[in-house]
Amino acid sequence: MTRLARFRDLIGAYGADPRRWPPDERVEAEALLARSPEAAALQRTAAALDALLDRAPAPATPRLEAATLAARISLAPQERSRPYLFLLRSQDKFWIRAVGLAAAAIIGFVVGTTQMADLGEPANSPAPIDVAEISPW
Amino acid sequence: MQEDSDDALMRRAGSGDKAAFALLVRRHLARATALAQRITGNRSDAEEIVQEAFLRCWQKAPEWRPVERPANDRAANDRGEDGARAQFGTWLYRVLVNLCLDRRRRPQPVGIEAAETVADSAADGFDETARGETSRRVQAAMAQLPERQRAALALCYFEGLGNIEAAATLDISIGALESLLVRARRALRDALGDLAEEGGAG
Repeated sequence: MTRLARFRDLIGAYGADPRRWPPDERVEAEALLARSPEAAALQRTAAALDALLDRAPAPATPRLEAATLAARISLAPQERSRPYLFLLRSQDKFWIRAVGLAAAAIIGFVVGTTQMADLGEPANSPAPIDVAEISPW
Repeated sequence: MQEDSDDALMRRAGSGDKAAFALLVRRHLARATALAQRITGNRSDAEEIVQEAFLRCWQKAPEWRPVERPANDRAANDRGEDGARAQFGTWLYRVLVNLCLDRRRRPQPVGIEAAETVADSAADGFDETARGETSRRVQAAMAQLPERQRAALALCYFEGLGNIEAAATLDISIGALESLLVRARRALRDALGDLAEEGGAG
């Protein structure tokens, strides 16, 4: 239910005409208006100001001609975003997954090759040379 | 034949379709000029700002994407607007309002340039035929308002935007919008109180 304080704010902001009031408050505000003399008085005060605002001079017809203006403006180059930025913006989830998979693949490759190196010498590698056999002493 | 929505026209403009852009300009030129003129109070400034706003519209068209409108923006629905049209309008008017507000932040000319500016302001371009003493007083009182208050009033009262769309255009909360409007109307009532009493209303 609209209270008088809210009604005062409403009418103080939007004026006397219910068509200008926020639609989600309009019905309750009009109900208050129907039963409250204070609300009616507030509306009359707002209506007096509205009547003055309605006498504000109207802006004159534009001197600019739409077709001429559009033709002149459309000679200017348009701003086009860089493709990779567009992809980042429109395919965020895809790129997050792709980067994650690529990172996982690189880590897997590095770990795999490191462990392969630790497995020992290949079976067909030459036998280690005994230093004693070639020593002149 | 169904009329193209602003959204569809912006997409076509984004592909370089000049005819689509021209249609957008034709649709919004009068309203955009009126809004800019109400905020700046000056026809020449308003026209310059409108041209800049449409230039940005053309330049940004390839990147423009409609954003989801709040589901509770029933004001726009009440006016029978389709979502895309309201979104493009909000975007365009936000650009326009920001340009109007930025204009005041720029250094003002001094000396001879300032004198020219004053002379130009006198030719504000408002409809001369309907001007009486009351109209002049109302316009003078509005000119005294801080620009953000004037912008809020122009959007909500004169352009008839709903509170959600007006707040989005000004990039503020609805509470902040209402605060601007309340202060604007209070200042106008203080400035024009004698006229309201003469009118017999209130």
